[in-house]
Amino acid sequence: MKLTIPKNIYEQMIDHCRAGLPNEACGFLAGRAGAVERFIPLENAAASPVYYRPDDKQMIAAMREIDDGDLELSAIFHSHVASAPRPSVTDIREAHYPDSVYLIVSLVDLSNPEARGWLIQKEDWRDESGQVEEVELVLS
Amino acid sequence: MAVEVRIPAVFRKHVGGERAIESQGGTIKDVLDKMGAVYPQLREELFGDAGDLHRFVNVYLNDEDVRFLEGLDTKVDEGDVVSILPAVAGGTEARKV
Repeated sequence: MKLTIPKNIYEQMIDHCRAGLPNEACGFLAGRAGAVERFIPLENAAASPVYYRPDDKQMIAAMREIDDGDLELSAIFHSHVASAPRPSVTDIREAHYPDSVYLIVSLVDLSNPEARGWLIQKEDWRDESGQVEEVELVLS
Repeated sequence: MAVEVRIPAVFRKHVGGERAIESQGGTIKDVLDKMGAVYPQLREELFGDAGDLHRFVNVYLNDEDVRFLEGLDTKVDEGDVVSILPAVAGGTEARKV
């Protein structure tokens, strides 16, 4: 599977992650059929360098915006401020959107952040463990 | 009291693909019970064996998480919007896959 991201949206996402330092940052990418069309930054209500939880009001508004635009939740992104862009145990435990790419931006090298995408599939959406599969990110 | 219940994409297969359905009730529990009677598969997704909302399910009355109001006993008014969302969260841990 591939996820195509317009370069300007990718850069907005990276900028949002940098701006969130020292904490993790988060947000949504919305689009259709594996192609991102919209960048939706969200505030990390947890305000933590090791955890993210989007602000409730912003997240509900974002979900409404996605529905009203006939879009899909293409990706849920967040940053890892000091580790690789791979899903942590916490990321997998708290992943409940099997159709969305979990996109992680590593800020270990601030001059060259690295983003990678993952699908996290579970037999039951409430399971705490699941199968992780990498998704190719294509910038357009 | 008639309220709109917004259904997340992951659960729409249980409600005929609808983004929102109408339900009735005086409290969140009433609203979800009535919805669950019509859509039993959705009810199974949302509730644990003890009848409590699963911890990964968030229910919002308008913009407020009902856990920070009065939980399932939170009263609803005509025209309110109830949103159901699987939790979105995560973050770094020392141990990686």
